[in-house]
Amino acid sequence: MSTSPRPVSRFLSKSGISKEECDVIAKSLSSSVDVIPTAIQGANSHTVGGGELVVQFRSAKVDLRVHNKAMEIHGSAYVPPITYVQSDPFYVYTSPYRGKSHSEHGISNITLSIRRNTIIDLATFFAQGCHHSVGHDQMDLKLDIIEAFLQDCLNLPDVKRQVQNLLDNLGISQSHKFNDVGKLDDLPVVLVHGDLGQLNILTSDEGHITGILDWNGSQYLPFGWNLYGLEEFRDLARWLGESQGQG
Amino acid sequence: MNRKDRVELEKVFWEKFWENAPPEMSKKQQRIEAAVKISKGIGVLWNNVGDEGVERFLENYSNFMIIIKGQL
Repeated sequence: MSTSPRPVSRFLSKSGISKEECDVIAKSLSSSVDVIPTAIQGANSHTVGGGELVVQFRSAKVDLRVHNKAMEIHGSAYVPPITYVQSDPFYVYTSPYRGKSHSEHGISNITLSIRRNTIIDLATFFAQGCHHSVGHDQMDLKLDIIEAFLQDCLNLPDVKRQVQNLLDNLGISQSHKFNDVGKLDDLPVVLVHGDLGQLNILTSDEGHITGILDWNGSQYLPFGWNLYGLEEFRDLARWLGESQGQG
Repeated sequence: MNRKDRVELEKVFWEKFWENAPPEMSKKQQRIEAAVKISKGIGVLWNNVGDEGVERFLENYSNFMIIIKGQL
């Protein structure tokens, strides 16, 4: 078994909690003799795997109401259950082991067929969310806040035209027969995961999604708000690099 | 991965999405797909610039402009 060194999480450095202290708790909870920190650690947590469990140590409480709401919408196949264990001297949570994050599989191992499986599962996941939409009055960001934000974004270099287009289409849609320009209020308001990227999506070796983590920060927003996450699975970062390289 | 594969994956996504979407959404598929471009665009900006605003973003994270430009 490989014993390659794992990075010490920023959380441990900041909190002064020792890795050994976490390991003792994780071993006790998982009944495992060996616990291994996950390859990628969050800024505000330390996570280890042991046997069939993942144990996470945090300085702040997880809002389990949001997590449970996500479970209600997407089911436990997409949203692994989280169990609260203790809060002193830090918060400890456990969840069943569901495999590696998409990025941990290693980019060279992710074939087009694997990406296709992930994309198909993501499509099902997004559609599920739309079956549980809420009224526009329950949106967590009001239109005036979004409008002010976009006004500020007009100061970004090189994208003024695109931002102006977003502003122009923000408002109330007109039900005009020939008006096919969609507006924000055409969209259902759904629970939007706040950080839907490769780090938070667990997948099998075949690319099927086995769990979506970290629902903290999720909000009710118009469908599509976090579709940018899809680009990571369509290899945008590499594509941008290639486009630049080609001048 | 080349452009053709990227386009293909996007097509796969939307086909599967519409297979599973609520019927009331499917009825206005064209308008929704147009509106999603607005929502996704704002999401890209919000995710990268955040609520701290453009001035702070340009001071500290201007290297993320390439992501914004690529996705808008």
